[in-house]
Amino acid sequence: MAVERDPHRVLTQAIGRVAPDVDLDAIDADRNLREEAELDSMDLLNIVTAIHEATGLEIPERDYPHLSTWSSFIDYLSARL
Amino acid sequence: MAEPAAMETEMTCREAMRAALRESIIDDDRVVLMGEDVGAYGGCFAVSSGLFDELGSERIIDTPLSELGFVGAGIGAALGGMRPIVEIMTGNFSLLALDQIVNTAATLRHMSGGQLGVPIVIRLATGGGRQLAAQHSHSFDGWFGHIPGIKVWSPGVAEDFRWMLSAALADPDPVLIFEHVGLYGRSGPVGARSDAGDPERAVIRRPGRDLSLITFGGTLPMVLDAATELFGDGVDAEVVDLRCLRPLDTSTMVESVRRTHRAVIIDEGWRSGGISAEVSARLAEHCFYDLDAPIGRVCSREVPMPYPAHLEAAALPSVERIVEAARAAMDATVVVETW
Amino acid sequence: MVSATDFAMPSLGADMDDGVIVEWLIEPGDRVSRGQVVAVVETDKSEIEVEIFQDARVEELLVPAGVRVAVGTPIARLGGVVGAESTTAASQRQGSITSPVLRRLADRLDVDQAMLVGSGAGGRVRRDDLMAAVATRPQRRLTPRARRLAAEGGVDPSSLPGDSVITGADIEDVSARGVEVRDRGSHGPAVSDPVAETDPMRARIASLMERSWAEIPHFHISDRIDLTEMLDRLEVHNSRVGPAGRVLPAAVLLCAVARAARRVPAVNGWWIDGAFEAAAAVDLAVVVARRGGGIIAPTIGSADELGIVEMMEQLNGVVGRARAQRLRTTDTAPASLTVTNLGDLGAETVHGVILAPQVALVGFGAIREHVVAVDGLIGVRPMVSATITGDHRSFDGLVAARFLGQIAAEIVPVIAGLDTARSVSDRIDDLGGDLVEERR
Repeated sequence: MAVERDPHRVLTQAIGRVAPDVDLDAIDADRNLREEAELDSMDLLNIVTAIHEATGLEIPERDYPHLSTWSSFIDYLSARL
Repeated sequence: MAEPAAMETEMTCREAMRAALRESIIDDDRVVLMGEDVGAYGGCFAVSSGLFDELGSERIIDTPLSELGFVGAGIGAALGGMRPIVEIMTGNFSLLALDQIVNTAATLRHMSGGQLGVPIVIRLATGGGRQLAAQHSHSFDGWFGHIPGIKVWSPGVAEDFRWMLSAALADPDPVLIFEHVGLYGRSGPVGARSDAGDPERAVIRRPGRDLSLITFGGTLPMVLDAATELFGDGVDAEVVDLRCLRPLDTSTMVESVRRTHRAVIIDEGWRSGGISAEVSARLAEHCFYDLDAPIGRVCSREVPMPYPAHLEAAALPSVERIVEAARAAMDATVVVETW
Repeated sequence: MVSATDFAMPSLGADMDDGVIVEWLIEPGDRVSRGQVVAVVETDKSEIEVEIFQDARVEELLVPAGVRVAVGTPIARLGGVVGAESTTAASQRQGSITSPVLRRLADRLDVDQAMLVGSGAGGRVRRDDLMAAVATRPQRRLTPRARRLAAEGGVDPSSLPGDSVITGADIEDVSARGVEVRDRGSHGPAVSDPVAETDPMRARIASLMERSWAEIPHFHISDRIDLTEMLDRLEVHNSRVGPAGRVLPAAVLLCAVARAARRVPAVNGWWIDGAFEAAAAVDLAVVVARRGGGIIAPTIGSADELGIVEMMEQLNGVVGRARAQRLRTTDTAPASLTVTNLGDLGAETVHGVILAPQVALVGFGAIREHVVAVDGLIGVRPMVSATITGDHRSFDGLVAARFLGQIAAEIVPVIAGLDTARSVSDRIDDLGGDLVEERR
């Protein structure tokens, strides 16, 4: 099976899996993602886990600051996928 | 000429059937009424009272006390082009004519390859509640509902008493009309014939959301009373009047139970092997995945009908038993009767 | 030889005129001893367990269960002590639940007490016996329609509380409101949902909160707990394992609370009929906020016995199920203590409302860096504000303070089992690598 490489799709699927009730269209890409989507630390961990399972990319906790907004999260994924 | 009943009027079931008989006999030269004491005496339950004097002995025919004989004569007349209405004094005596009904009337169209039809109408007084004891009080409508080749209708309201007869006469095959003796004195509104609709379709007598009370004939009034009592307790029961036991209108009962998800069947016949068992089986076949409670049944106790009034009342369905069964259904349980 | 005496319906309150014997816990031939609960009596106010005040032998029960009698009416005939007899019939009998808490729990879980086999002393039923009976009992009954709707709607019927047959309407309720739990006992997990005002569950929660607030004299004490060492060690652990093996500070705090509650049992239990009942295990209710509003408080059973990795799994499980609205029956078991954790998106401090009849609630605010004095110098330390909310009828500030201190003391030991020693390469990683950023 081909591994998904499109960062938008990877992130959308991961959030959709962890927090299916989040309306991604309503999220401002340049504001704090966790506040926008009401994601707590457990959700973030589960999103990181979902991305790991889907793509093999292991995001260390120290990189969490890169994940602060939708845009920065996408940039982070684009550089590594 | 019979007077048209275009406007809704109030009449008893007895008056309604009498009007139907009179109209049919006047309108169609082929129609006669025959049976024990239907003429000079006016009928055992006074349904044909006055018709003998008005229409004469050629059209209102008193027969000897032999069900086998006069039902056979009726079948012969029907085969010969007449449209006989045969009255059997009580359904209990129809057993004496069982061979004519089951082996002859019901089979000839099939056995003749469609060459012969038996357009006979057999009216039978039925049911208990009048202290007439075990030989005059039983309900065999369900038995006849078992037989292919005949139709079994059971009016529960005055309007059906008024209009089922002409529909039965129009049918090319035998039709049995079971008239519950407890209904003859009850009145109800009677409108135009078109209001009564197809007698083979069941009718929702009272719409409701919470459960379906399915019945017909003599128990219909008590089921409506039970529904009223239940409504006072917050249970909104739908009352389905089957009207016709053969062919059974499966779709109306099934649609009702699909809405309400609960069903209680009320039948004055005995439970074992009765029409209530057939209705229950059809619901299980068609509505199993829509059910929120076991299907309940309220039937007559499995004893020959007692004579003493209090024992007869205990043996017959009652408002109390219907309400109890309905409440059990609301709790997703069932009252299992052991006798 | 001692002559027979009568045991009379006791007065269980100044205003009690009569009472109904709900249940006899003894039978003729039993030997009873002073302080033993012999019957359950219902008064106008509540059900009360009636103790006997002498050692005796039961000769005859004079009043059957279900009958109301006036105070002073003889209800049992007692004979004298008749030497050392074999074990009494009552203690051999199966299903002798003496704790009112367990009895209530058994009622709520619809466990047939007669079928319980007690593993405690004298056949006494313990909590474990009850939960084992729950775990092994047959499945709830579903109507055919309910089964179909549950399958179509992806609803887990086992999450529905109560004992009655599950009907289609129950499943539709769940699907429509997106809430599993419609009926919780007074000490089951609390649920709150800001939907319709007419929502019966909302009304039940309102009445629970109202009752808690009206009944419980709340008091709060709080302090900040320094999490530097715990966070440092977690960071090491989490950098060595894949995302699925990582541990969150919230799980560490839960473990610490559970273990501290075991050391300070006065905070772990229920206030019932004017007295504190200590819980046998630490069953933690965890308040989970739901996106879009509302809270749900699933239970993590025997939390004090969980290692940190197990706790992380449990927490992830209940949070996920609570968020997905797919709670399991075990998630809805009664809790003995509640923890609310505002998490890193929350505010500094929380002063919550106790879920009656529990007697305490532990609240954690967001972990934030604070300027503090460290060894006589000014330091910046990640800290969490912990608040103990207590029922002042049940315990006092000193106990609360001891509990709070114990929580702080348990935090680092909780993660002792994890391999968190920093290696040289970790330190190099911290300093160099291609992603030099601030550590946190």
